[in-house]
Amino acid sequence: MNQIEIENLSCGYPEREVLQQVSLCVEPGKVLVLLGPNGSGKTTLLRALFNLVVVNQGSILMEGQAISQLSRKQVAQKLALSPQMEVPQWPMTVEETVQLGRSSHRGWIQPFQAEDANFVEAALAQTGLTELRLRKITEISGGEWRRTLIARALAQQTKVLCLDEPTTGLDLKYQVEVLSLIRDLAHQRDLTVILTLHDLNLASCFADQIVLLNQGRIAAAGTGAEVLTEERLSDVYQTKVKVIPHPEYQTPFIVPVL
Amino acid sequence: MQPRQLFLVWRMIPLMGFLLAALVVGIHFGAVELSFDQIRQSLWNPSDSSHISTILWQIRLPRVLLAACVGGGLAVAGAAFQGVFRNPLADPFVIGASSGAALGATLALLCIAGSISVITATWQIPWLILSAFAGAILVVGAVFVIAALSNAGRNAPLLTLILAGMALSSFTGALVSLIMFLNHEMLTTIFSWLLGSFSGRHWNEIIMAVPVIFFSGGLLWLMSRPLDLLSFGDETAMTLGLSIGKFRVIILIAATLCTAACVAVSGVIGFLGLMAPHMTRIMLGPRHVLLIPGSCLLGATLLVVADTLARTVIAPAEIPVGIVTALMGCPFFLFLLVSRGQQSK
Repeated sequence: MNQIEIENLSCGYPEREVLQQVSLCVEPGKVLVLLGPNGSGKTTLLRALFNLVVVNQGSILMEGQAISQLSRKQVAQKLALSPQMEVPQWPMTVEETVQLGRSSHRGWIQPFQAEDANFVEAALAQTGLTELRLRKITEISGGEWRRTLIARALAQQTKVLCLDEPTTGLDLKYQVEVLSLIRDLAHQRDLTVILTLHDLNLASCFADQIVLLNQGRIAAAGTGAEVLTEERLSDVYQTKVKVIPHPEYQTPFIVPVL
Repeated sequence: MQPRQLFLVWRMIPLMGFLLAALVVGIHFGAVELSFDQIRQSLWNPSDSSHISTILWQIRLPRVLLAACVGGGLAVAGAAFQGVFRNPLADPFVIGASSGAALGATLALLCIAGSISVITATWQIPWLILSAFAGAILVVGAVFVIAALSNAGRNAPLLTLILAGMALSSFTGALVSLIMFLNHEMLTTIFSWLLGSFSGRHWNEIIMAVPVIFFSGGLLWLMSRPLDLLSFGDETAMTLGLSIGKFRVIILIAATLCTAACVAVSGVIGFLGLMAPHMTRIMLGPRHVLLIPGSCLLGATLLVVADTLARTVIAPAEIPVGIVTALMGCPFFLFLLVSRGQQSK
């Protein structure tokens, strides 16, 4: 059974419709990467999963249930989002920030329990933040803040994990580590992972399924080899590219031609 | 309770100690100095009809307790407004509670008599308090309605709320000034009320204000986790499961009630509601579960100290306590900001 089914979705903002007639199925245990040029609607598609945009037409079902019918709390128990941008306001610690990811499981008054502490511990360890747990979020680097946001989403312990540009601001080591972690979680724990990326080659390496968006519509969907072709990428990105096989994995490797 | 939570309670104890010390010092000083023995004896024998006991029970105790409750209430409201607006500049009066209360009090003073005797006549005090309270609630209510109307479908309600609050505050402030201008024999009465004071306050005020302050303050404490989540921004709060509209309304109403109750019994005491939460954040961190009770204790301590200074520095005359909080608080607060900046370097 598909974890998430998006059917004929048109959505966006009151003045402007961003996505048009998008249909998409995501299976559990798979990593789906959304690709597309700036403004193609990647983030809007993620936001639609969380009832954060105006849906004009179509539906989003999770395990057969319409997401628009769920309360915020119910959505937060099923889907977690690591946002593209968030500005730390008060000097909370990294650990406190990650802990607040457990809120939807505990309600608004009940103190956090030992179980929550375990999930927080695991999320900190998985993102390499254990040593930094007592640092203030207003005083850490951009990459550390990015990992904190990912850890907070991991601590939510949801079946579906959405990450908007999780590799932005990370150095190569953490780009690879974060994506490997996410892929392992998907494969081993049967999580559904949806993420947006700008780096075509990382997408090609890590994605089980790729959806290429262009101007609010799906330009192509399928495996990396099916979607990432020279002709299509040159067209969608309006830049000439060459696709060669990756020296290790034989997956498509994209290089721009100047 | 986990050891971690016990540790959190432990961190409140110094603040409780400060407050207790401030209360004792506040009772001690005055026209007649009460020794600590006398205070202890009179406290244990409330029925004692001695001179000392009368001073303690009828003058000092209600006054310091009211100062403590108002200080705590203003600080909690300030912490809540800063949290919900995600703005370190917010204070309890940010959306018009002070100017509304001022208008209510001014109208009450105008209607009752228009003379100084009005404040001392006991039957008129509840009138004044209720009128100030109603004024605060009405103005903030109007701000909500305007923000809601101008806001349909948009997603910047916080900014609209602050702007509408500023606009309506100026309007209400102008009305108060106009009334003062047209009735200049009342100028001193209204003006001294605007500066805030605990002069001549008794159990009456405590009975009227304290239940509201406790109820709304307690409610805000229960809203600690929603306030923490709101600090991440509206969208993240929503994806973490918070129905932000509902919680924001609860928090704003509770903080407004708390502010209105404080202003109604003591006038407009500035700066405390801005300063106390920031000082507490430096001491205890930004989590609201600690910040709110911490601000309450610290705000109470500061206002008891400020009021003690207000009535002793130029005794037998009194300075309005609002002047003391600004004069003493501002340099101290700036010193804290600078020294914290030096530390983190």
